[in-house]
Amino acid sequence: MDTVISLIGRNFGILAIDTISPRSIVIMKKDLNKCVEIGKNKYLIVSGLPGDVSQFTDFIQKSVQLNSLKTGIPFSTHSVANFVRKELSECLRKNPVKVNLTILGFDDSIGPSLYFIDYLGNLQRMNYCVQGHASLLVFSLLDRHFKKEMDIKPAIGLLVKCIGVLKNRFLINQVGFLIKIIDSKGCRSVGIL
Amino acid sequence: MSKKIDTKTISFCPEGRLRQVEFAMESIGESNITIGIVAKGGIVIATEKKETKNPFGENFNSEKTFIIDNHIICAASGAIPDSQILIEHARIQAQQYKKIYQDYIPVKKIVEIICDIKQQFTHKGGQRPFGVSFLVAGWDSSNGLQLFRTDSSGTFSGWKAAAIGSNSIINQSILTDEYKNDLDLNQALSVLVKILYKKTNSLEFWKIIDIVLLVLDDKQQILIRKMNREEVNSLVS
Repeated sequence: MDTVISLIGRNFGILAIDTISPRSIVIMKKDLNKCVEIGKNKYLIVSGLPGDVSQFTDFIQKSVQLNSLKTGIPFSTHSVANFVRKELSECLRKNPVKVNLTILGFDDSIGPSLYFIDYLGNLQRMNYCVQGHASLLVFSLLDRHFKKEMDIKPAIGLLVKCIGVLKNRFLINQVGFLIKIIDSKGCRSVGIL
Repeated sequence: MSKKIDTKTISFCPEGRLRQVEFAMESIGESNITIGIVAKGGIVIATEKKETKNPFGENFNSEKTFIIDNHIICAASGAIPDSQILIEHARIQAQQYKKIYQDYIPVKKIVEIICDIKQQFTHKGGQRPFGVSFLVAGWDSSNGLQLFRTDSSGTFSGWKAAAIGSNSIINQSILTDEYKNDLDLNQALSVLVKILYKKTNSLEFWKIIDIVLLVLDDKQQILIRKMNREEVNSLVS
């Protein structure tokens, strides 16, 4: 199961995503980028059943692009998150899609914001969030060590601790974690831990 | 819906114009004056109304001004029954947008929605165009205070000050002379009075004019209110 650890710092948001693509007991690909950019300053990470993931990601990315072209105004993270939630909850009773999503975005007026949407259509805005089985191991660590308005170095230090716990205790060997940052300059990759 | 659609009403004439649309604009040119001005702290829209005795007192929803959502107001010139259908549709679309995105609909999008409907009636045969022109004023977080003007053909444009209805060309040129970029609301109101008061000779100004304000305060809260009898009369006394 995919692991996504995300935090909000001071005027930036940071993500650590694992990069393996597994199939049964084999690692098919070790450097997969699971993060999708929506607009200039939003990241969308979808995890769950493989077919649902690619279909839903494509659908959301292209719908948001179409709608922002129609209005001529880029959407805020809040609007995109609610739009995704609405699509998911409409699918729930017609053709359920088993995916969990994290949306991390930066708006000029609000700053960074992080939303988590689960497969039933629950939407929550959070300061830090873990997605996947790793949440059982990492959340308690984040509860203890997370502080609001962290700078980049302490935030990366916290991520290193979380990844350390996973490498120590998590059954699945998630080889590398891709670190990405969103701030006022846009989205960028920092490296692989 | 009859099977024989009269295709002549919405076809180009030999000179390359849509006659019905132009006739619709003629009819708007005979109807009530509506003026809108974008000022520094808000937008003010004034419309002429018929001098009638309203037994129910002054309620907000006078005939020619409408609230589309908490951040968009609109005034109509022309056939008011036509306008009510478009306003109804616009209100529904604004709420549907809010339902999906949990955010206020951008002003331009509402104007596009209204104009798309107006355009349909200039495109497919058998039905006349809407004989109504709107001034849509609103605020959104991407573009701030905006004023749009729409006409029967479905075109819209953004304005800092606009006049529709009768004598619109003369009124528009007065606005061009009088408008400055840093007008505040009181100065905008005095410009409005300059245009409207001389057209109406009644002593009771409030009986024939509706003035609606969309005011933006420092906390970016939007307040929409209609000026009451004393305030309107104080503008001319």
